[in-house]
Amino acid sequence: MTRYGMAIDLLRCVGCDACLVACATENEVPTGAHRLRMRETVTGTFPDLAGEFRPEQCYHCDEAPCIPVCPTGATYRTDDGIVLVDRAKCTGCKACVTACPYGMRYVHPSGFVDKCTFCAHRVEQGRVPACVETCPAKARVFGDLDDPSSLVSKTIASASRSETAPVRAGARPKIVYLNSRFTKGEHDAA
Amino acid sequence: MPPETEIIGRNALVIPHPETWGWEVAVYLFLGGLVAGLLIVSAVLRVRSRERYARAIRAADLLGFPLLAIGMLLLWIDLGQRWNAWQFYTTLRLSSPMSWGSWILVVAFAVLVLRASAALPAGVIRRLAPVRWLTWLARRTDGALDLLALVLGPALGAYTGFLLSAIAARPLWDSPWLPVLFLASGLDAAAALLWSVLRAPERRRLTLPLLALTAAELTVLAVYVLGLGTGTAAQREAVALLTQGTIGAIFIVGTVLFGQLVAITAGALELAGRELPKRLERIPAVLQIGGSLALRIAIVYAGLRSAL
Repeated sequence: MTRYGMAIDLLRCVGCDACLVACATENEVPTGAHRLRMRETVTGTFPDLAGEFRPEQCYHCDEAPCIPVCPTGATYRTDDGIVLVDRAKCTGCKACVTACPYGMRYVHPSGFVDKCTFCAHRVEQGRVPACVETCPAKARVFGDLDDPSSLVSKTIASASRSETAPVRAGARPKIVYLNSRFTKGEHDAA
Repeated sequence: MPPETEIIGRNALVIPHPETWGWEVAVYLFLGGLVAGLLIVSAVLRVRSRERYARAIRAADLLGFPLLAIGMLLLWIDLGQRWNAWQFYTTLRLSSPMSWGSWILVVAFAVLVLRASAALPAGVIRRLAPVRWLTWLARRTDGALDLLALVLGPALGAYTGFLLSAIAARPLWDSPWLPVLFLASGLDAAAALLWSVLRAPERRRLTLPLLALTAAELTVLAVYVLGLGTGTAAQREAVALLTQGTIGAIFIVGTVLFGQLVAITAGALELAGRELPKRLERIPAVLQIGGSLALRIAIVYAGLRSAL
């Protein structure tokens, strides 16, 4: 069964924010809100500094804590592993926003909860998410994590270092970060 | 040297911590617990002696409905898509305590409407046909309502604790004692409320049970705090939030000092025959009720700031 996920190569990511802009444009994200965010981490003492850009978005976790807490079933997972919100069923109770250990959801000005959808409407057409298509550094790869011959699986397998987003609250994120210069946890100072 | 982190594209709602639930939810948690306590106390007093505790039972019946109505209104106001609230009643999701709660609230509301109708003055009942009908129904189903209240009361009082404790992402809420604490606090606040609306001779019968409930709540609170304080690093950091800043002041002064210790002291003095002056005698009960509210405020706001 298809299990969509993403790999992001942190050595390639230059923090240009094109993915943030592409996402906001493609998905009509309201001003002031963001489905994606860029975490810039700098360590060391000048002049011996090390830095890294890490794009973050909904990880479409396999054991997403946002799904069981939803009282109406508005938050659900599709058969191919994408976690979505049915706006028609969403009451805006914000249980899912509170339950997300990564802070990836927000309340749209219209009152429903919104977040990254892996551009499901594009995926249905056989295309990749807007952030993947836009990235000028080709840092993002999207595909079926359960297909060893998919580009995303091959990219993860060939990376010198790969780790999923940090596991919190039992969630099993499906975004894999490649070639991070930091160990897990060092990113999470803020 | 710790990393310096800057986050671009931040949502103010979720960074540095989610500002999802506010005073509306905290006040509802308080009112829900209070009404749950009224349901349970009223049912227990009915079993012990309807005649002896008639005033307390009537006060509980009259107060429950408007308090729960205000609480449910606050919950509705908090929703982002209010006119989708009916969606709660298209399903019952066992994984979601909020889903259980939506159904518990509807059933509790119906029970409280019936109880309130039957407790109204006879003149009001006679004059209003709908109230007459509701009163007739309440009297016909009196025994069933007693049984339902004994089930609904604990359910209403505890489900909000389950709701918060189901959210593992907020370590302050990640405790099996939270439902017990909310239920104990609700019972305590309800007993204090009834105590404060009764006349002196009737109040004396409730002093010892009220003192016992307050002591029980303080014990559960201590177990909850100690459990988190000796838990994971995230839980220890979370419980420390209850001692810092405005939230710390609300918790320590509002919940512990005024809500518990002053109430226990006043109750013990009354049992020892050293009653407070008449003009001050209701103050400990009022502080106790305020302490129950302060507890919910502290736990909601500190919980939202706690993170894994």
